[in-house]
Amino acid sequence: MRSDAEQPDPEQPGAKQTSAQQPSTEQPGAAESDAVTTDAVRGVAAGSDAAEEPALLEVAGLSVTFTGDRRTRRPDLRAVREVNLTLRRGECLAMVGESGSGKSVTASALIGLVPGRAEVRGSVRLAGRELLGLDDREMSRVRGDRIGMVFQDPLAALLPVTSVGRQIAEAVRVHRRVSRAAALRRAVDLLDQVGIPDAARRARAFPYEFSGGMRQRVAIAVAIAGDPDLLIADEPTSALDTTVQAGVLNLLEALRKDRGCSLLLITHDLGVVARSCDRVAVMRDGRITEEGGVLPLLGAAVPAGHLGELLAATRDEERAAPAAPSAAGAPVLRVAGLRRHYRARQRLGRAAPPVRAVDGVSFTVLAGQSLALLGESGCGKTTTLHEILRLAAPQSGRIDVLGHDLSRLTPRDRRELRRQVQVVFQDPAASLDPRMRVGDIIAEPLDIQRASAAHRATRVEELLTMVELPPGTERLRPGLLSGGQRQRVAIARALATKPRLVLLDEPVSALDASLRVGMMRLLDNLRATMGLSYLLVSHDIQLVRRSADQVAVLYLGKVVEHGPAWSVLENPQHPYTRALVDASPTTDPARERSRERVVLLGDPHATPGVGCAFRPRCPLFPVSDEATRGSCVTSEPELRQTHPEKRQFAACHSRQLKTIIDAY
Amino acid sequence: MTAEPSAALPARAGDVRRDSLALRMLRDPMAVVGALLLALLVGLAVLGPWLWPYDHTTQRPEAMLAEPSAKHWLGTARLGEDVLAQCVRGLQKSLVIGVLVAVISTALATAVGLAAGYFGKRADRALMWGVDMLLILPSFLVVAVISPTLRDRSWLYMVLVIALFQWTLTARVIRARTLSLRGRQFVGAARYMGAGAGWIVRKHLVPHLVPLLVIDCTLHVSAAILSEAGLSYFGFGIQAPDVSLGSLVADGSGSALTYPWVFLAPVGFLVVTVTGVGLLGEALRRALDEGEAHAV
Repeated sequence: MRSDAEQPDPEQPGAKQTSAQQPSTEQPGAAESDAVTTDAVRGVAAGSDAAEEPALLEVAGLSVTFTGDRRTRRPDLRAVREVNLTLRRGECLAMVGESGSGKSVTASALIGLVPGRAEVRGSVRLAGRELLGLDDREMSRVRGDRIGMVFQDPLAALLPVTSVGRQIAEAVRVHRRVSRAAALRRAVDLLDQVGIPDAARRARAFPYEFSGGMRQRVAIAVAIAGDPDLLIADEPTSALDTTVQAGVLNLLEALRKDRGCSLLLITHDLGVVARSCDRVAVMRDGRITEEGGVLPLLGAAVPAGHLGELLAATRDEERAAPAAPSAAGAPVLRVAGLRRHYRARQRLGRAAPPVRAVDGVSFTVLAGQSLALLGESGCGKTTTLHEILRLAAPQSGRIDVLGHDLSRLTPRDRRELRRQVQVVFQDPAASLDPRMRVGDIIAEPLDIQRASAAHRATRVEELLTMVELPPGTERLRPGLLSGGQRQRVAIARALATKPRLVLLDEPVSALDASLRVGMMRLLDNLRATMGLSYLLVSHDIQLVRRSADQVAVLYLGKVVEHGPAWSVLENPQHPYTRALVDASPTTDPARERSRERVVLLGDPHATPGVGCAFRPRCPLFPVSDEATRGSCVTSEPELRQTHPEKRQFAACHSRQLKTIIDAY
Repeated sequence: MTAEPSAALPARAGDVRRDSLALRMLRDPMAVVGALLLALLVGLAVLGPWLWPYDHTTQRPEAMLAEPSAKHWLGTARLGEDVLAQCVRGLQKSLVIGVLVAVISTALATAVGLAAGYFGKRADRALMWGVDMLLILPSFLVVAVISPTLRDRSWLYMVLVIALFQWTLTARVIRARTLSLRGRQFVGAARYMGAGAGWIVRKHLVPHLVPLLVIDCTLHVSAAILSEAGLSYFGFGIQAPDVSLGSLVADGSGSALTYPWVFLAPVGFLVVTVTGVGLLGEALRRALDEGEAHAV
């Protein structure tokens, strides 16, 4: 978002606006019953609210319909249906719902930026002023001046060719008649407010020079440049790591308190809601199904309605017993001292140091077991996975798959190993060829291995049953399937050749929360019944706790802690693991708001070069004694057994690790 | 999408429409007009010689430069040749040359573009260098220079020469598309399944390029017809006694004002042919784009 005011608004001509009391034209019964439940819930919420002041934002009967196309016979799509909302000053309202429930379209309708050909009806009043039906110029003034918007992907929202300082200054100048220099000074000030260290210098940097979390802070600075009354944040932390997420949420919270602006937070993550919102509105199929205070709704023993369904999925996960240890056999995969460095691009003739994507990683996966590589983005977990999948000699170190050293494979062995090692990628929309039919996709590994036609047909049928897809799916193309169904297709494809080792790259993180548990349960069952071994790459603590036997925590290409999953996650011995576990949100608002957490600061990709790589962000480093700090600076910690009886290892110099962490 | 993912599969023809290409084309008036025009012209080119007693070489000295009449619908030319018969012969040549050039240049472009895009590195550099060289050469001049040596050979050589200068841009487009497809995850997934280059090209790259190839091929047809006409007009193309639309236009241009039918008839055929192909190509592009939007 360069500046809202300058964006042309293609929708206004097509948008139709009618008075607020537009009678609902269809399904009056359904709308009424909705209103009843909403009112009932609101009554509860209002009771707890002492001071009754006029609402900042009042939305009444808002409907958005994307008009169909007669030529292609695409029907009308009613994305938002009769939505009513109120938001008081200084309040934080969360809008939750699964993908496609209409949350984002609602937000776009509020700021008059509905994409595509659409008809918007109803009423949106901001501080008593009707916004629907305003012409382009007036609406532009409202955007940015009264309403600030923060999007999910800050890289897409920021202009890559202009320094962030100038981008913010531009946003300032759109709303105020100030000189260029004054706008730049204000930009530095704003950067400082959103928690960018050394703001004056960083204002001259370009978006690509910032990490994801810092970029989102810059986008927030742009959004608050016009000093808006209402901040709309559309999934502001979904693209960020959990350790960074906490910082951005804290920032939004602080801005709301300091400036007294209201926050409309759109998210699918109930943990975020439990943590920082006052009220929550649940959306489903374009309607609001429940609305009310976060504490009563999320805190209820048995949450009702659609919220209950959404919560059940995540709660199941949170409360699930840790994975029962699986019977372990011989090593299936052994990785020792794996290194993968990438040459960095030279800048003005100066050779940059290589990027150490993977820098000495070792672990072993035993037959029938599941090992998780846990870490933030950029820690090297996916690189490790691809090094194994290449089935070729690694740059440095050694990989053994099913007893074969990858640097000494004959072509014949490699062909055989291709059958035994399969992968499921994160996003099935990308990993399945949209032009192939599901049957051909599933059978592709068989076709490549030249299986007979008869075997192929029966196998496809078997596999569809295995992943619980109905017969007939094989004739469809993946575009017609839902995200969960597509991922099942990807799993079926991975199992087609009866592999022994399956690599799972964030297998559920592209799916809605309500589907994740089912998918992981399916994967766990398949592992048990088919005797598979999994190497699971994930950043999701709950998922690892549920499904992994062993876990290796990666930080900047190195394993900092490993051991049995339950032991590592219940009782982390490395400060980084501890921070990861702490950052993982829970959906219990009371617990979420009261608990202490270790918040990691700093740039996740900053490497000090010598000594402990985690040092710049380590919460223990500043509080450790002199001798320990000395070794942190000079030498790299090695993995040591943390307890004589446990098979848990951590790489940290701090001697009194446990006591310090507990005291923290 | 509700909690149970496996419950509901979309009905095959219900909420998500994915009609066949033919159906979508039939709904588009542009496609229908283009197809009808082409069908008419092709029909004429194929059946024409059997419909009336003259062929393009028949000379009737008793009726030189006669106006259009019941006997000669489009009149006669300088030596008493029937203009309609000449045009039909010319149309045959033009259509055959157009289609041959289009097929050859699209095939060449696909092979080179795929190889450069998929294998990259040295192959890419070498092939693209060749493409750039061809793009730099002024094609008309080169053809003009080498045409005397082709004069006594078959017209098929001219097809090859025209094709040689038409495939290069398409090859660049295909290379670019291949580069982006190669980076897609499903190609990586196939590679991790043990698929070789041939498999990936056949199963994953070519199917994605088909819409592009179909459109390009049609556009090549009209471009080739025009090139051939241009060459023949200047005397480099089809040589007498054979005729093409281009050579007919050239012959008629001298008497365009005095005996307009000799000139206007071949021009009319040329314009209608190129328009028909153009309409069909544009309609194909629209229909395929629409299908694409559904597939992804």
